[in-house]
Amino acid sequence: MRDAREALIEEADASLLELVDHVLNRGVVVKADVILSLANVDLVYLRLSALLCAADRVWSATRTP
Amino acid sequence: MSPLYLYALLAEAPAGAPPAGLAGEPVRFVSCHGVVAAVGDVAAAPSLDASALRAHDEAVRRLAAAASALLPARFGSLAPDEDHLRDALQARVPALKAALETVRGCDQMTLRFSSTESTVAAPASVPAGAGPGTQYLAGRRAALGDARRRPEVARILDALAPLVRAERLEPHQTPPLLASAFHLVRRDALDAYRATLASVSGEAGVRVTASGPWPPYAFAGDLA
Repeated sequence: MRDAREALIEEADASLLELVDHVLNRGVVVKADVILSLANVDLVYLRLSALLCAADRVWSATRTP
Repeated sequence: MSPLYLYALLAEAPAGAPPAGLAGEPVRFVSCHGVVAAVGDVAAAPSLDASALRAHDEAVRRLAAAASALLPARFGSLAPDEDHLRDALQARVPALKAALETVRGCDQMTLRFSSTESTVAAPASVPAGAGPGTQYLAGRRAALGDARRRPEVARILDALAPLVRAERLEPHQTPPLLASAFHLVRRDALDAYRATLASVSGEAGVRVTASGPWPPYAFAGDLA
């Protein structure tokens, strides 16, 4: 049960984090014309760090012997 | 006039019916000084959430499936019209064409290396009698990290090297993550790449997590 839960958390987070890193952090940038609200980007990273913090807590909780 | 949402840059427009974009709109192709921009006519910038990121990636993947040379655009690239897009790309066309030839026929595999040990890598050796400048630079090099300095990481990278057309390495400072490697792999060599990775990923001291195949997101970033 614990292993299954860990695997689930790990896979879900990993695929979303991979997606965020590839789609938002890489790729051709067309500087002159990008109209992407900076506030929105901050929001994504804010959510991302919240997710990471949450995952971290679950990890330590499930790993405590 | 609706703005254009940029999905990718291509060497040539793919044959066949244009795939659907992020909002279900048909993707069309705009010729820009010798490269082809895949764009969609959208009402506004997409909202920034996980489903929009997935939709962007899926649209890029549909394009990549039909094209042999494609550079994905970063999420959220919006141009007011075709002329603005051409102007923004014009100066970078030679670099874009070279990048398109590098990625032709290839997909990207992403490897994340993390340490399974709590020990910190040994500090970089500083030559005896080194001046303050050399010491500073050695310290900086140690802080930035070199993925290949870890022999277990280097062994995995070396085993994959014959199947890799191009490699980008990114060191990480947040333990346990050691480094990320982005590999351009010919589409017909992906199975061999996975098999080789499986055969070498049991290295002690390091865990490697692979994702992909991806469109070559990591091979377009320095064109900004």
